[in-house]
Amino acid sequence: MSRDAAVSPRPASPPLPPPSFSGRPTLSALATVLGITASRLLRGRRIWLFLLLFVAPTALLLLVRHNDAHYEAEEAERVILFVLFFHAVIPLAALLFAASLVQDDVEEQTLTYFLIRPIPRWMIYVVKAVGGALVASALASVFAALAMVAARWGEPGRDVDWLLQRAGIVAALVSLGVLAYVAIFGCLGLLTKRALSVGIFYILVFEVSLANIPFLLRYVTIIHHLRVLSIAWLGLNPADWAIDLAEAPSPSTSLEVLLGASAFFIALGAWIFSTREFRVKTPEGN
Amino acid sequence: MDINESEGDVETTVIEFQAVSKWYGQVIGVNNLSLRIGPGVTGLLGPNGAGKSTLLQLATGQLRPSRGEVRVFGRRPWNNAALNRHIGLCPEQDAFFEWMTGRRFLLACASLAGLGRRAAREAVDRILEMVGMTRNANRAVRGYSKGMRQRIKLGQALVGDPRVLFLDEPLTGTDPVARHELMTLIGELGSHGRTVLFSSHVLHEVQTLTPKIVLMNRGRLVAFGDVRQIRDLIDAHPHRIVLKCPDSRGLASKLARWDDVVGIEIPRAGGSIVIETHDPGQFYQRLPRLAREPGTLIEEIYSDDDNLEAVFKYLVTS
Repeated sequence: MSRDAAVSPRPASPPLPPPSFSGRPTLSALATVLGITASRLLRGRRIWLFLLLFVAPTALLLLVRHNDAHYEAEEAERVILFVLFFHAVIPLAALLFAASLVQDDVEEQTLTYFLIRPIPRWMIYVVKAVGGALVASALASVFAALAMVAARWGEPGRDVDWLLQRAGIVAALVSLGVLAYVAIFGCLGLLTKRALSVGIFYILVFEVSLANIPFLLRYVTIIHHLRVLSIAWLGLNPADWAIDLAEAPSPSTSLEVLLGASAFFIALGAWIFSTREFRVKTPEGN
Repeated sequence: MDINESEGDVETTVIEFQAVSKWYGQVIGVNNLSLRIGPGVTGLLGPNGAGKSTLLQLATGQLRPSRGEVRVFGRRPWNNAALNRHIGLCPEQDAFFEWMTGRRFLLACASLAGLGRRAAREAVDRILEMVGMTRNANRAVRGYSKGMRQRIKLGQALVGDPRVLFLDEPLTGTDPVARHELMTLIGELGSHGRTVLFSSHVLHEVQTLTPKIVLMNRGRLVAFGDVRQIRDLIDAHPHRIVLKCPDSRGLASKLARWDDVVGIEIPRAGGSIVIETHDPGQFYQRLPRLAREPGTLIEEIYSDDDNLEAVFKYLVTS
């Protein structure tokens, strides 16, 4: 205290009654977590990269279709959708969104605003992961369906109903894939700061390479189960992926595997998130 | 001086640290700290890197103690959503959801705090008024000045009407008017029965708000109490007394012969000397006799330790 400065304590009011510790997080609180997550994902350079990932192959397809006199719609769809999109675009798009679900908040130091609220940590993560999956799958399924329509529009003997039905199935397949990848890469984002490079390595080694080897290990890849479902729901040729239908899992099993894997990895991410400390480095640098 | 335990009144304790340590790998953030804090405003003082923010992050459940126990309202704050209903934090970091307006940001924080839509709107209007941001509420946060950002950040801490407030350097970057307004607001919150732990490294901010201070340095609790108690704590250590006099060298040579004077410092500016004594009572008793001696003019005497800044410097550097 300086010699002439006097501390003037304020008159204290009666102590407040003891607080109650009941109550659950409100739906509006969870909706706000979801809204902030979605807003963040749809902003910045990420969304442009995401759009580029989906629009560039479709634009290329339209260019080929316009200039190729021997254009084959079925083959074009196979290449653009079931090779390019399923092998690269969808896992990369999911990686782009999921790896930053928590990392963005950590880097921008806004995670504090979630952690100090009356919402269990695991719930924050689950809502964030669901939000990430919703945004990514909504965008991915729309663009994938558009790509399919771009490939097969005007094909003799195919009417609009057929196209719409097929587009719906493609959207469902893409959504399933995105959900599973978001769940996996969301976990990865919690475990390493290099989630993007580790994720790309995982896509190349696990999803692309292993899934193409007719061996038991392909059953642990997301892409294999997406292929099984594509064969069953869209009537694709199993020989294209060296899949023996007699040995392959049934479509319902593949569906269960995809949903089960998504639930497992989201739950694992929620557990990691709720037990991990996220230290905020202050300007003090303590 | 290291006083690593501070006993407050157990019955009114709201925030309690029991032998808490926090390590970041090999680096220690908080070191064996025990502390009890009750309602009202308590200032948390310490130089940069003292561990103030770590302490606040432990108390708000963002960090888990490596050792010991932290309790707020008798409950462990780590991963405790129910407790968070009663806690507000104004973090030090200048971070926001930048795309939002000030009002939208507060509404989001009110929703996160569990308020329904109508209650959130009402709370936000009230808080905007309290922090003086009603006029600028619909501007994007990214366009705010530092002072406005601090006001909105304090607002989000208040929006859930918390019982305990942790304010980490809430006045940083504010202009004098905002500083005065926010300090008045913080003082009022404390006087209305809320527990406010307010960190700062600017002493005059704290001393005008509260006599209750916690001093930290290098992760350790250096002292706790009001200024007078802290003064008592350092009685066992040399007091610094400033004597203003025209002949500082002459006075210094006379005082050097006194047994209770353990150190003499002559500032470069001249015109004064600073002595250190273990027995200020005896020193003050003998001083009038010295002052009456011919050629010994003493113009002014004051204890350097009366200045909180000096107490703070003394405690954290000793």
